[in-house]
Amino acid sequence: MDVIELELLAKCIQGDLDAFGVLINKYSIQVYNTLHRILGNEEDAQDVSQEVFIKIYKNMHTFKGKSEFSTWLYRITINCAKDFNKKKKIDLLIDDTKDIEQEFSYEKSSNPEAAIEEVEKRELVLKELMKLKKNQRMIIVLRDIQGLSYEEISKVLSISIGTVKSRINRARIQLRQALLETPFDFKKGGH
Amino acid sequence: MDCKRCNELISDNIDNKISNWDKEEMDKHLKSCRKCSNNFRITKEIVDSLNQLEEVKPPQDFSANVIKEIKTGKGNKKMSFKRFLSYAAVLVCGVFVTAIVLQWPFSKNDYYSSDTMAMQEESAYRTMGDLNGAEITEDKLDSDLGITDGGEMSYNNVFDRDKIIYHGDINLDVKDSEKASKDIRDYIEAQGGFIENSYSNKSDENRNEPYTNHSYIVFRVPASKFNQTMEKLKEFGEETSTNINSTNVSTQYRDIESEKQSLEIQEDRLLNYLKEAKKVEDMITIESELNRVRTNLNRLNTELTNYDRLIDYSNITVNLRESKTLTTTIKSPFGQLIENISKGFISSINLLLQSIAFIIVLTFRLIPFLVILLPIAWVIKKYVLKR
Repeated sequence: MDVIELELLAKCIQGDLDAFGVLINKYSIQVYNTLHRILGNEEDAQDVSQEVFIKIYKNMHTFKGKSEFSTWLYRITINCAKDFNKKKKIDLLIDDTKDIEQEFSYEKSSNPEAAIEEVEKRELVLKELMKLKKNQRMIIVLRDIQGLSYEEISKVLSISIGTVKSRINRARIQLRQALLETPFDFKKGGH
Repeated sequence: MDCKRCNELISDNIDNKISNWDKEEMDKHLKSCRKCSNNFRITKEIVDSLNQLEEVKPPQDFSANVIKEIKTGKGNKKMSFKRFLSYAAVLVCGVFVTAIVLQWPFSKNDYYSSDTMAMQEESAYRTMGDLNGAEITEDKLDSDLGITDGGEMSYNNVFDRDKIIYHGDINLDVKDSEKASKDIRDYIEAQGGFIENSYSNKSDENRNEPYTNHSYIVFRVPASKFNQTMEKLKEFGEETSTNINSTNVSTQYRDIESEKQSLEIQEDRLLNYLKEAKKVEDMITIESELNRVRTNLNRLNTELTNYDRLIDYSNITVNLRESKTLTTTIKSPFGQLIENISKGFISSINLLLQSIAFIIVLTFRLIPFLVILLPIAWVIKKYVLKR
């Protein structure tokens, strides 16, 4: 953690809302992105992100600086996502891919044909990701989308590195098997 | 290396979490096994796609919204209200279920409700002067005795209807106290009663007070005509208050009677001894003893006659108050209004207190159920909701 961030956090703990605004701007993409991928839609991602930052603000004093701030933030993000899922009591099997389609629509129109295939692939991967079990999806989001290290994941989810390893492996196998059943031809080999 | 082991290591390989030895072994296997090499390639492709995903950005005003939310404290309240609602719903359901299972506690069988019923009956008869009230008191005394004497005596023995002393008080507003008191005396005499005490006071005519002359009469009427007389007295003026009370003296009466009987037996014996006595000294001793017994007997007889008199003739006190502004003509509704308000207020408070007591009792009644229900709820929460 650098000195500037430590100073920023100290101000936030004192209740400085301006400083907290800066903190939000710095980390909102991380939180929002994670939640968007886990929850599967913008609306819920926004609501829960807001909840995460309010929780952060209220519990700022409990952050002891032993771990990285971003790790702590991820932990709260994941907990809020779990709470939200519990509350909604839905498995979040996203049937409509509206969000995903919208997201890729501009790429379809502006890129040459070679890219279309790539876009189509990402779309499918994302769709199948949403069909995974919550725990598996969570670990894939943290590892492959947010790019956290195994050590970080083990801290965020409070599980051992061995468990992280095996869970990632299982989730990836699951995702691969699901994608092999889709019309997209993964089998044909390299481009 | 077999395919199974290879499959396990694919993920580790992609993330470079694999030992050099394993990596070499795996490369060898991938060259020879088409299936595994395909799996490896596809997994790598998937991971790459995920790595290359576009970042989604939160809306522009996200930070401002969060700050606003923190300032107003709105977000927090929303959640706690929801939580409160769910707790409230559970509580209400619990109350209803328990009420059905354990019967509604405001039924007659329950502790506090029966008390209030009795209180209501009592106060009703006091305020309204309803003569049926006397009967309620009798019943009450009856049950009281039944409790204190335990199950030793049978119902009929405990309650001797004849050994009850009635006492009535009645306050009346009248136009002319002299005329009213004369009418009352006439009526009492016609009933076979008699005046015990009477008093009247005439105040200065010139002083302008709402109540000027007043008088009171204490009289006795035969107990059989007590209720009838009390009812009739209300017709002589405007009743302001009535009070009837009764004392059950059956026990005392019985005690005196039995004491009297034993003294009589003693007296008979002493008389026999006296007849057979030969010595003068003996005679004197017996005589003095006989004297003591007879004195006691006389005392008891007097007590019994006193009781009999009190029982046979009920005591009624009539207070007469001469009122210049007698309200028989125009009845103001406001007096009753205030009374009604206070009645309503009191009954509401009573209901509230009863409810609180009910909830407290219910909480304790529920504890045994909670012991069973809480683990079940916990299991449901843990395994069903989490899925």
